[in-house]
Amino acid sequence: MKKVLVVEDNSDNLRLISYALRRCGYEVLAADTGEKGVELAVSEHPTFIIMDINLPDIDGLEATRRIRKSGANGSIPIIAITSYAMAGDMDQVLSAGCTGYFEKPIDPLTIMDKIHALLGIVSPNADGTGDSP
Amino acid sequence: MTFSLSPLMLLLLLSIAIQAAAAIMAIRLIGITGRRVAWCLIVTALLLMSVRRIIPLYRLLVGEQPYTPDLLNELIGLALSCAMAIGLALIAPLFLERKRVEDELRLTADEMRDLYDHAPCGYHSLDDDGRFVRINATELQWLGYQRDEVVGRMRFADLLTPRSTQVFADTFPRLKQEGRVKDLELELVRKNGTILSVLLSASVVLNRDGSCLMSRSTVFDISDRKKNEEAEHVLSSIVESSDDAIIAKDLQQTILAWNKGAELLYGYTAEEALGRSVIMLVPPERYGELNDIMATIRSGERVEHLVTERIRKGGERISVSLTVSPIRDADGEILRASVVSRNITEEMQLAAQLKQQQLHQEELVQQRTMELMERSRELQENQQALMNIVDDLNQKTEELEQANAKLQELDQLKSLFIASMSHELRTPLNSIIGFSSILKDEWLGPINQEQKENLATILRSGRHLLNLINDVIDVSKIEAGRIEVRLEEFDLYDLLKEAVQYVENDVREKGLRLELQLQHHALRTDRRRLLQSVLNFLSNAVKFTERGCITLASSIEAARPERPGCVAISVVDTGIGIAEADIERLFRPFVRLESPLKTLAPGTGLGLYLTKKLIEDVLDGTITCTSTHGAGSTFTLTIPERLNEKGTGCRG
Repeated sequence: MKKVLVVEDNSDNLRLISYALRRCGYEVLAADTGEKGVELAVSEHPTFIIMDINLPDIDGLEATRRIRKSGANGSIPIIAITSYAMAGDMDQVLSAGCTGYFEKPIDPLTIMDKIHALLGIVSPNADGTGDSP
Repeated sequence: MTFSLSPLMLLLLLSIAIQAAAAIMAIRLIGITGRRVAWCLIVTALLLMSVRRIIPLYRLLVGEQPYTPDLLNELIGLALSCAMAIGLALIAPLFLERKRVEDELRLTADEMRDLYDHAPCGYHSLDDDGRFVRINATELQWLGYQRDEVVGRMRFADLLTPRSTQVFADTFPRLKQEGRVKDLELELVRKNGTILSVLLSASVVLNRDGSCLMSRSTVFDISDRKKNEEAEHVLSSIVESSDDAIIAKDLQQTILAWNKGAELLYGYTAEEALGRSVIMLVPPERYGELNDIMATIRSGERVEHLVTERIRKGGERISVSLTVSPIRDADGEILRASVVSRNITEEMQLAAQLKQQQLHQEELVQQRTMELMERSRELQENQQALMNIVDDLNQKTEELEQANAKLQELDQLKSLFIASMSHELRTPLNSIIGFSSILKDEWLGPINQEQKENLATILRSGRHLLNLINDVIDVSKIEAGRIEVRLEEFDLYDLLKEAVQYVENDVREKGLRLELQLQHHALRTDRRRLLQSVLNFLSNAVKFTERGCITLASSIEAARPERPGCVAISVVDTGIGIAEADIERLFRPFVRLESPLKTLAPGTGLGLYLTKKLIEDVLDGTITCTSTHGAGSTFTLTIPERLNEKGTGCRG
């Protein structure tokens, strides 16, 4: 099963994104700080990473830079989730090494379509194959 | 040796003495008369004769040889000597007298010549032809010629000016005829070309036969006199032509001169006035004044601009201004006075009028001054009142300033509040929206219809609240001037397509048609805000249209010299439309128009207000709305294709 790392300190958001990812058949690895995120990214080699920018320790930009520096993970897609207030700093996000970004709020009904479109993945059938409880 | 005086010796001695005396007399005459040779011969003969006597006398005296004289012979010699001496004695006085007379004559002639030459007047004599025969030094000096240039060479007529030539030509025949002419005024030309004015008197010297031999003339230099005469003439002309009355009088008040001005001023002619007393002009009560004037004049002082009264011929009184000055004669003695008088009657009358007017004006001024002082006092009171008001106002202003500062503080607090609250509000709202949407979509298991409807309500309310919060934050940012413009390069077509995606679902659900007239065009502006604005137009159109069509159209206006290239984006609907009177109110905050759909169409009341602000303040564009009530509306925004370039935007 393909693994997706979600680095997000807000547990509500994490749960929402996880629902959407699992519906599409991904295994969710969660990290609630930037450093944990970098650790998991290096050790688990996820298919892609969803990275919140506002994190309590190192921010998502710094975490992205560290992941990119780790060598083995240089090409993992990293999708940034930015807050409304950050609109306008997107160059920073991209230059830190992110593949793309989405602004909050995350709509769980459409987020996976957008991610797949961004990463060029043919959307798997969301119905039936999801591991929803 | 014995010396004995013999008769012969005596005879000899006598003879020698007489001859010697005659010789001495003859020697004297040598210098006096002109015939020197004759006299010298006589003297020599006499001396020889004396010597002839001395030799025998010597012999006799020394006795060397006895001398036997021829006595007769000696007697004859003696007689001859006596006759000669007597003759000489008789002749000599005649010669001496003649010499004395000649000497005297010479002296007189010298004196005469001296007088002739150096007389203070000129003398000359002319021959019958008018040519100079003689001329004295004085006249030569006047004329500047040398004697030999003139005498025998020049004619008197050569010296005359053309005018005097005529005079002389007229007079010369009369001179010949009458024998003399007197005081003829002539002008002579000096050698240096200047003019010498002379007074000439001449007399004629006649020949024995009565014909004219020559003329003698006396010439006086009258250049100075002429000059004085001219100056005098000028002066008297001035005096005569003066408008002022000019009078001369002696110290006894007798009038000596009376000009035209005096005739005009006092009415008396010169004939009437001359010789009479000045007192006839003076009013009796002013006789004392006349004495004062004369006292001043006697002391050598002037009386200047004395304003007084005089009486004209006929008794009329006039006001005059007098200036009286002493006139001194050549010795400096004051014998006369000049009086210059000017009629100032009119001036005096004018002055009197003026004075009266002045008095009147002074009265007026005084009156006005009183009024002004009164007014000034009132003004001062008013000013005091005003100053009190100003003080009050200053105090109020201070209070207002303090209040304003407090308000600004509050405003900042509000902004801070909104900024922090937006995050705090949005985070839980996002959870509400997110979780209710996956519940409603039955991700977590099937739900019944009622649960679904309730979840839909939660979802709708959450979204509405989120929109409201977003709009409020945007408005407060724009109003505070703190909105950031983020420039991006993008394609117009892509942006409009994205906007359409957001409303496609709703359009479909309401059964409306969506028509797109889009084109590709490169833009550089704030993409996010443009999308927000277009989306606002579209969602409004969807909200207020129940049937028919919504059209999204774009058009490009090419750049012109005075205006950059612009893009116009219009949203046309066939909805309920807007009454014309309401169009103006449309863009105000929290205005929700009366409409049958009001309850059906949710909104924040900030949408169009925010859109207008975004288009005008952020995108530098314009927004317009045209509408027909009941038939639909058209909203159009026009923005520059390249923001912040060439500055002016698409307004106007």
